[in-house]
Amino acid sequence: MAEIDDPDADLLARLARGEPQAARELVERKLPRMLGLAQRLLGNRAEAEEVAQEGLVRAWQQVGHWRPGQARFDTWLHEVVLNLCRDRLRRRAVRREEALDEHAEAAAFADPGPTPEQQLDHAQHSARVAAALDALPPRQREALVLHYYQALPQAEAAALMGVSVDALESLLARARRSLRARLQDASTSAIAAPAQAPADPGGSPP
Amino acid sequence: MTPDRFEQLADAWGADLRRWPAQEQAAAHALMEQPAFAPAARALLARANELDTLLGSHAVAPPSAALASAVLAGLQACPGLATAPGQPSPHAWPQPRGTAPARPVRASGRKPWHGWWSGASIAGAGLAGVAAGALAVALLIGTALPTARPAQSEGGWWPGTAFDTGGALVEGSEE
Repeated sequence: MAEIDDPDADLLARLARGEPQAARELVERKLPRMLGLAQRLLGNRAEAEEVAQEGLVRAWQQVGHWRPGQARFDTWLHEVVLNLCRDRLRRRAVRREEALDEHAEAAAFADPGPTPEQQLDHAQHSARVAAALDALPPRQREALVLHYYQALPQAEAAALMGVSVDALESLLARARRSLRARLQDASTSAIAAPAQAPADPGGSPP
Repeated sequence: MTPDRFEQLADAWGADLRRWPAQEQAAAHALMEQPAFAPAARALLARANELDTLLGSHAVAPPSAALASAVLAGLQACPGLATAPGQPSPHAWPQPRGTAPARPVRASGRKPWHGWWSGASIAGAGLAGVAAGALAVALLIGTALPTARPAQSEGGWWPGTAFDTGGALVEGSEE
């Protein structure tokens, strides 16, 4: 693999010099991103928080294994967190169907509460998408999260999954086809209110 | 590029052509400029954009201050990083079962910090020192180190995770 530019290089160099502020910046920069990755893969906030925390600490412990110039730090961090998520998903596979039912039910009967209607609509959309993501086969969900939400370069997302870019494309196509079918009912209202969507649906780049 | 291939790409990668495979973007743009295909292309991209918009509505709340503080505290408690730079093998960082510092702490279950980074100055000062050596090694001689397989190769000190299983989940990087 050719040498690559790493947008985190400056921060990491400051870490290597022992600047305490750099550690705080590392957490500020990476924790939200890793939390998003974990939550969308696991579909559970509490578990996602545990995994994000565990992953950042784990990455820090193993920083001597990271190979700068061959992998971006962000991609390597994704690998750490991704493996933790895979482990969680594997161990809870037996319980998954029951949890999914509860999640879908919660999404369908979200408490309207006192929040503004628009905010409620957004929360319901978010819950529907979360439930639809949960229902995807794990590999399809991984592909979609890595490409769409984490906005990883195609080759990096494919490498993290141990597949070719062509295989990643196939996984994405199947994932999006399933999601479109599941979210068909929601799409009409989403089109009617496009302002609810974030300006950059792919998420912030690393 | 054929119209069928254009449809495949839109269905897989979404409506933003910048996120399609780089080697196919120019051909896709060229196809879109052909009058006979332009309306169909717009329809395909509109359909892809509908799904992109829906996916974009799935928001993840930002981490709490308690979680951020817990992460920093966890980083601070990494005695393994005291290992001399140049000896990155995780097996050189023995952690007795049940005392591994990296085990997660539920932020929600912790006593809240009284300030956003009230723990940061303490944690930061400690962790920067212990991490600097290992990170410096990575930055300087990383390519000479064994292939990175983070969180996969070592077992025994992180009970109950995939890392005990010896590779069942090793499907990762080709880097």
